[in-house]
Amino acid sequence: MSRALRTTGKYLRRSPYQAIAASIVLTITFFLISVFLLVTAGSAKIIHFFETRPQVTAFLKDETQEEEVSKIKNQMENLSGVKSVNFISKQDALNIYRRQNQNDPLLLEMVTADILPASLEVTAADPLALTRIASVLKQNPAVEDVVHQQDVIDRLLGWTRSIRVAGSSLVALLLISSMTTVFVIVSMKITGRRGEIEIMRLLGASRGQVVAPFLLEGIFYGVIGSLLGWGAAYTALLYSTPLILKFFVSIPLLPVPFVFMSALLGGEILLGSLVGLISSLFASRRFLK
Amino acid sequence: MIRFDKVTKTFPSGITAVEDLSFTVDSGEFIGITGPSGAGKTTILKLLIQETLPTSGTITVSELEVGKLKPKDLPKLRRAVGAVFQDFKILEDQTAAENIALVKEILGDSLDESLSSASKLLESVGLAGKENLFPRQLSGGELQRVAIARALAVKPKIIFADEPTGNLDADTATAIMKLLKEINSSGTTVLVASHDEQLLKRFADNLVRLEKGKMVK
Repeated sequence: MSRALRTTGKYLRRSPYQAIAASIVLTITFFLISVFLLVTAGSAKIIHFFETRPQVTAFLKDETQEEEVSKIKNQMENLSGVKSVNFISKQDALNIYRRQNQNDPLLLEMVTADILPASLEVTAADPLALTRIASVLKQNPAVEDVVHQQDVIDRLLGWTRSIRVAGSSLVALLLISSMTTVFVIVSMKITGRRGEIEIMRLLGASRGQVVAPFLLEGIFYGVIGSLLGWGAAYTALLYSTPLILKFFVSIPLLPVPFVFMSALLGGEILLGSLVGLISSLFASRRFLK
Repeated sequence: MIRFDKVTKTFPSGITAVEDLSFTVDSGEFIGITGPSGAGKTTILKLLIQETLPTSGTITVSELEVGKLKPKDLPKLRRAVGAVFQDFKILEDQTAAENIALVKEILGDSLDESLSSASKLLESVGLAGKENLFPRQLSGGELQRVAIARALAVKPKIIFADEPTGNLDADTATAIMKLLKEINSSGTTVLVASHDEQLLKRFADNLVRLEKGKMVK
């Protein structure tokens, strides 16, 4: 193994531009894979955020009695697809309003509990149940108005699906082009060292001993590409943190958990190694027959 | 030790390099294979290390039937035969010591062990102090000695030298043959292919004469 590593180092030093070219292609690939996975994870978190919010809010008429509220609450709790039901009294609504506008005394001055409606916040277990829950609530005479976030979620789900399809296609395309690049570069190396390979075989080197430096070279490109790509994506994430925080004010997207970034790095190193290994394996099978 | 039994090799071009060739080499013998250019001497070496396969007949080397060896078993054969090639097959970008150490590393030795062995082998072939010289800095005779030292690195039971004196002056050629004779004296079976029959007669126990791929008396 030490000879194989030494030989790999020698091959890399002798044609540094090819090594740089392969590393750049793989770095771009893994940068975009990292970005794609971060965006996918982020969009999943945004959807989860909305899914776990009280998605349907039913504002009750002022004259609604407590008994009636309990009745509606029970009815909702027994409805399939409902995760939880929370009653927000007029006083609770005022407290929420005060909390949200605590930095703006002008907005607090004229508002009292009387002018705010009591409401029921119904959380759905499944976003697809939102319309049904909203329609049941709308039929209740004690309900003044119903607001739900189905549109937002629909749009988010649509975006997420599009991101996944476009991202997966792009990643697949980049992986193929990376594999082709490594394949071509390793093939060139094998062709350039044909004389040395022939001598090694004649002196009794096994196929594994001949092929090992080329496989290690492929793995090297994969590992370097994944490390640099991940590093670039992480740096970009850190730089764009203020922008993300500003845009997604109330959605806790950041910081990205350390475990997630570590798993991403580990997965990408593994994928990079596989990409390099498979490409160089194909090259050696093709050119060392 | 080595047995050629009715071996014929015809290349795809239709040229028959050796035809119905049979001979036996016993352990510890020094055999000279002679004949003019194109007689089939190099083909014998190629057949011996399965660089090419016989069209018919069987070749046995140390109880291994060469023609039936699977690719994975080929290194075992090639490590048993120390080959000295006509064109040396020395790596130009590696020093004399590194060329020899390569074989030791193939056998599994560490780099330090291999380089240390290489120095001793170079000393044994009269090239002490030339470990760090590159092939372009060595003469033809010195390159031939490096090739012999490399063949010895596998501690082979058999050494096959193909035209080891081909491009050398008479004194150097004699020195190389003396070296091979010394190696033979230590128990190694030696086969030397050369067009110089007179030189072979001085050192070989027996001669195999070839002409157009066939054995002649």
